[in-house]
Amino acid sequence: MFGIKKNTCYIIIAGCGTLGAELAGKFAEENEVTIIDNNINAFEKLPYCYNGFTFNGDVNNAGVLEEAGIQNANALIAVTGNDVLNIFLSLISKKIYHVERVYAGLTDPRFRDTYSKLEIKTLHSSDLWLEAFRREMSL
Amino acid sequence: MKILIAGNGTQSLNIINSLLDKKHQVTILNEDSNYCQQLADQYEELDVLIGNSADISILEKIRTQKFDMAIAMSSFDSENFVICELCKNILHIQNTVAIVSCPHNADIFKKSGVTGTIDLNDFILSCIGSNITNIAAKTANVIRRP
Repeated sequence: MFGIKKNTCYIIIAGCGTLGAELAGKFAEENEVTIIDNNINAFEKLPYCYNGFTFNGDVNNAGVLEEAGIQNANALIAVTGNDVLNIFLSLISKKIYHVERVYAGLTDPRFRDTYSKLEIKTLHSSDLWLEAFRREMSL
Repeated sequence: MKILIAGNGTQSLNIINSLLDKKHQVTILNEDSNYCQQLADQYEELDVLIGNSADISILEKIRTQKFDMAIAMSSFDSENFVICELCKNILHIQNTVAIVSCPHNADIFKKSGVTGTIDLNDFILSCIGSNITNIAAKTANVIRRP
């Protein structure tokens, strides 16, 4: 945990909800991670041993992403609870900052078509449930 | 002109008023059903659509209409950006105008092909800025006149 990290991908996670905090904790074990949230209390959700960076700022402002070092990021994960904000972050990361890997969390399934039309990779928790259920059934 | 005004927020009343006065054909897309009802009651010639402007199923309904311009009037830059992007890609509207509250975002809007941005901060700061320079000039005069 305190040694040199093996794979040094730089990952930016927008939104420190339960999902963002969990992902940040796991990714930070082997990568450089910065997690951004506009509510400073949200960082309390991070695991006790989290060894990445936290950044308190509102991602509605692209300047916050730049300060967090989006130009050098290998991946961006947009998991704010707001789908429109996730779409905005994914679009600018791909088109303006040319981030290699961009993923967004889908909160409201009615926006699924919007994500796919704009070619943003996304996942809803129901997808995982369905997949797990299908696997069980086929066994 | 056929104009689409999209985005949640209820500041569009005056713009609608002046656009209708100039005989433009205006369509409103807003999620706030109370506000939509109010607009529909107030202006007969206005087309009102209730729905989220990032919802493709709503945009598909007006896909056949050929809009000349889209105005994104939400108070959130992120929403305005997504509206402009969807208007370009799905409704094929060439002219898109957005209100921008973070000055830093204006660049990003321009880079991604939004035709016009209205930077509220910039406008307010420019007003204050000119006042400050005026005040500074006056005080400088006062100091020079002992």
